[in-house]
Amino acid sequence: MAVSSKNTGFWFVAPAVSLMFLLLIAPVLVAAFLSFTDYSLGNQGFSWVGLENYIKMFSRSTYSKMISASVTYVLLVVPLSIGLGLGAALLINSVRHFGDFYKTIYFLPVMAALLAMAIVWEFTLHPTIGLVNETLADGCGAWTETVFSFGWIPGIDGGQSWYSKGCQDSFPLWFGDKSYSMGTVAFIGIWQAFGFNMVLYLAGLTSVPRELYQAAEMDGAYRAWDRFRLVTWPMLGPTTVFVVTITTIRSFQVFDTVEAITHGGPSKSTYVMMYAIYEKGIQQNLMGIGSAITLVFLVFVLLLTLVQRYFVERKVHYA
Amino acid sequence: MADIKLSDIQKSYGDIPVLKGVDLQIADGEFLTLVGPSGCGKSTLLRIIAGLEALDQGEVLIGGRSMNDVRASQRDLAMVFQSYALYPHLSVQQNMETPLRLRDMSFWERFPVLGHLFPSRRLKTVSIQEIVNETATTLKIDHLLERKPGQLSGGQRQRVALGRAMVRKPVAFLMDEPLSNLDAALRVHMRAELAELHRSLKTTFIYVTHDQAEALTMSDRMAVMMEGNVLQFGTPDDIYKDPRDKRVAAFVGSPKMNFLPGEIDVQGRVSAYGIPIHKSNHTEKGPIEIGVRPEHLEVGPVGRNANQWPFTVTHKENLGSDFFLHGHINGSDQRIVARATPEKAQQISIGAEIKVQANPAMTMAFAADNRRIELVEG
Repeated sequence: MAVSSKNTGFWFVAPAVSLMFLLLIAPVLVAAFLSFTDYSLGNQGFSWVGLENYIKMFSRSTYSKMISASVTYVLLVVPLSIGLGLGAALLINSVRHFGDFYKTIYFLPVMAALLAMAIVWEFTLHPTIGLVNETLADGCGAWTETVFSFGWIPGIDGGQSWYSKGCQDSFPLWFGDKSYSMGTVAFIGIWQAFGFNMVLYLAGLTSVPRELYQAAEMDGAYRAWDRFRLVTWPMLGPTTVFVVTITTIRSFQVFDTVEAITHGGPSKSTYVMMYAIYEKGIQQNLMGIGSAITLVFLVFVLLLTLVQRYFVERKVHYA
Repeated sequence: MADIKLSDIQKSYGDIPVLKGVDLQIADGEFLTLVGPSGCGKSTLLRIIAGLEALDQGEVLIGGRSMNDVRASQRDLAMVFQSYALYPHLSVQQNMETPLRLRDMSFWERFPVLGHLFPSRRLKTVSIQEIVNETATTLKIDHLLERKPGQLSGGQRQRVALGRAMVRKPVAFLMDEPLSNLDAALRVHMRAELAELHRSLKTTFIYVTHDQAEALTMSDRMAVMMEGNVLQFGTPDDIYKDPRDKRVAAFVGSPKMNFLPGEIDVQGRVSAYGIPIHKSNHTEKGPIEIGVRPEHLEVGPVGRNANQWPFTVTHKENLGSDFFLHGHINGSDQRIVARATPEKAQQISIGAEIKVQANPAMTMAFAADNRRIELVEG
């Protein structure tokens, strides 16, 4: 009996281990293998191309645009959605009434399907019939133009302002102009992500001991900013690390808005990694290069996780 | 230099009154203890003094100035919390620096990164560190300055919390059950240290505890609170020897005072269990309760005196220096505790039938409404 009980533990973990291998590790290994080939779906065979796919990735401008689009998106969405999420959480935490109401409102974009919401935004931001540009155009010549052209501030020429110029020519093609497209896609990403971050921060705030705020008050921290610096922000450290990691990973994964609206354009300004994987691997059936992008993507995510695990986590858990 | 005056403090949470008009006058430099069972409102009262809790009615005066519209951070009080409430991400040194930095440095000098641009910051940092080092030496925690609170034992955290309160030299220290998270031996040790600290600082201490022993051993004066009222306010000695209320008498002292059913007869003579205790009162009549502390119950037989209660010993508690004999009188189910010397207790076995007698000078009487009844000799 003693001998058989030695192996019992192995039998208990076997289902989990085998499923993990089959569903998670094996596909990664397959993708890694395919990234060194020129395999296309449906082909009988494939040939070994070595590092060619990777060399392409790091030499062709398409792929440097891809990396820069993904990184720009992440750098826009992560800080802004986290900042807004934290701000909203702090405000909701401080109100006595309607907290649940605000929570629901801000969380709605998270629950909605991003693909459907992207289509709604596409209509809203349509250059001619969209609500946004129509509203902006309605304001031309009215008080809104006077106010938002900022001509009333001394030293600013109202006629040269963004608004007045828009009134004279036209308002931007939000998704069609490459100087706006990434910003607009990122805006939708922020709109969608910050409610989620807010909920995570709200959960984090409930675990901050009230006595610490009282101690801070007794120590003379009468400014809200001092209490935030002394108590809230450090106590939210673990939450922030988690929120940053998860938002970054999710931002690297952005796909729905790009696929529904811009298709990576104009001139590759929104050609993010997930969309590139889809375009190369599925649409153009170039499994080799698709797998190579996937692996680079995985490395990004893995690096992030490692940074979180080994460098940051140690600094935010105090006990 | 500030005396603290509380007048008619009232507070309720919803419909539940927590404080029902508390008046207290705390002299400058006094060690005052607010003591009472849990839920008596003592912590709420302390938090009202601190300014962490708003009051419904009444006034808090510190140094003659009304504090009702002054927020906690501006009252120049320091508080030691039961959980210590140290900032877990800061080292001991930084924890102790915090109140000084908040007081002495301007908003911009404290600002991250930008603050270093101010030359005045450097000077202030040096003087703050000096004060912190000095305080840490006094409290014998100077070797712990680099550690984080998570790496400290309960007693060390307690000292750091004290240090953080001390550095600013506030007008008064408020302490909310600061010893209750320590083990018994350390608690007894810290009692003496806190009392010594108070003597050397000469600052007002307002100390909240549910432990009557802490109140008796440390304070200059103590206020016994129950159900939102201060029942009695006086020196520990007064409160122990001369409780004005049955609840105070029962709460202060360990083991508890014994209460025996008694009565005052038509001649005003007081008796309990049918045996006179040689005391009388000529204004009250009828059933009363006789209070005798365990050390005032003499374990007999004492001489040939017939006026002794028969006492059945059910349990002996050995405290080394003393024995407490538990048992009952006349077969009633009320547990009575009497103190005996170890020599005497050795001769008494569990189940023994002995005699006990109250020391008449130390016997108290209480009316049914908890009021103390004065007794005279005879």
